[in-house]
Amino acid sequence: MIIFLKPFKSYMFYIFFFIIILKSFNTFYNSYSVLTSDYEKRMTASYGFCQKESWGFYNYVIKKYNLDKKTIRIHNLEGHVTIQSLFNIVKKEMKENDSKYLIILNFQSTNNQDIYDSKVRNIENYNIEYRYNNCYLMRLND
Amino acid sequence: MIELFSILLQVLTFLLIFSFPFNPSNLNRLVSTRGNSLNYIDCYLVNIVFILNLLLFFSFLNIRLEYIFIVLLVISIFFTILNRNYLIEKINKKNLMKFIFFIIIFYSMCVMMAHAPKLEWDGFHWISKSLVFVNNQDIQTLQNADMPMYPHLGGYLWALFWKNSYLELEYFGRFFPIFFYLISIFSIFNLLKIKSEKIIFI
Repeated sequence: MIIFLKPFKSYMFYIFFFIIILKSFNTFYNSYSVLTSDYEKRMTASYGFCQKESWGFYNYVIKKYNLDKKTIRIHNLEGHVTIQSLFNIVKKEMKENDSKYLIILNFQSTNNQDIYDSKVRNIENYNIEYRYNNCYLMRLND
Repeated sequence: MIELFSILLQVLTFLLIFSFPFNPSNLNRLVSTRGNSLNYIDCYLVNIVFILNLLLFFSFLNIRLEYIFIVLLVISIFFTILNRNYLIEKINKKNLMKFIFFIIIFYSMCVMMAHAPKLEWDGFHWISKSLVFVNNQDIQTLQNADMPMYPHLGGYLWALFWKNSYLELEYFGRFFPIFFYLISIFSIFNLLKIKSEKIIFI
């Protein structure tokens, strides 16, 4: 065994050293994670589906309702940043007129409160198009 | 597996693109240093500054990012082929280990980013600038992006390496700051004559 390892003796330090680096950066686990879960899964794990920034909810409704490059009013009621930039959709400012779609994320409610009890401006003009837990995609009434 | 392989290719692409126009031979001749003290790490730093200035100029001309990337890649491949003899001459155990050490750290940090590609608050301002270039819009469109007072070169670089990455994923564009950061760290330790193996402990 020692005879077999002799040619590699000078490299043993480096091999050992490189393994320590890989371990300290958690490269083995990160590689496994990249191998086993696709980009969408990892993004949902980072941003949440219907919690925190709710990347998963955005991704789902944008694909299902074809909202790419649309102007949408977005509210994250938990105070997290809105991530429309990641999806190429334009967020409409509060002061402007009502947009066709409204996304409300992380709506906080008590007892019998529903989404129409929230303080989002002009919410009564919208119908619920899709809902997942506390995240809503709403469409302006025709 | 494709994603991991693409990350490795992207890492090598950075090393290739920023390997020109200067190499230790012509840079030492240019600045007339004593004992040819500038090495590949210093050349990468100078090349980065040179190419970033070039890209800043191109960013005002509304040229498609694909064309810029292809031109950079072709020129860098040409330069590498031209300097192949000098490169082969410089290969020895010490330099090889330093190179592997750099690649391992760079790759590990990139995989770490791939594992959790989350942007924080400020990142969303920068990405809105980057999207202007990814969508091939004019530089004038930047006035509609978030935070118009922020400089646009960072977003431009992000867009360049995002749009021309092998999988066209957003986080591939963010490998450049890692590359720049690592080159800077290696350059500092090179200057202090500290062995590369000791960098990790510091």
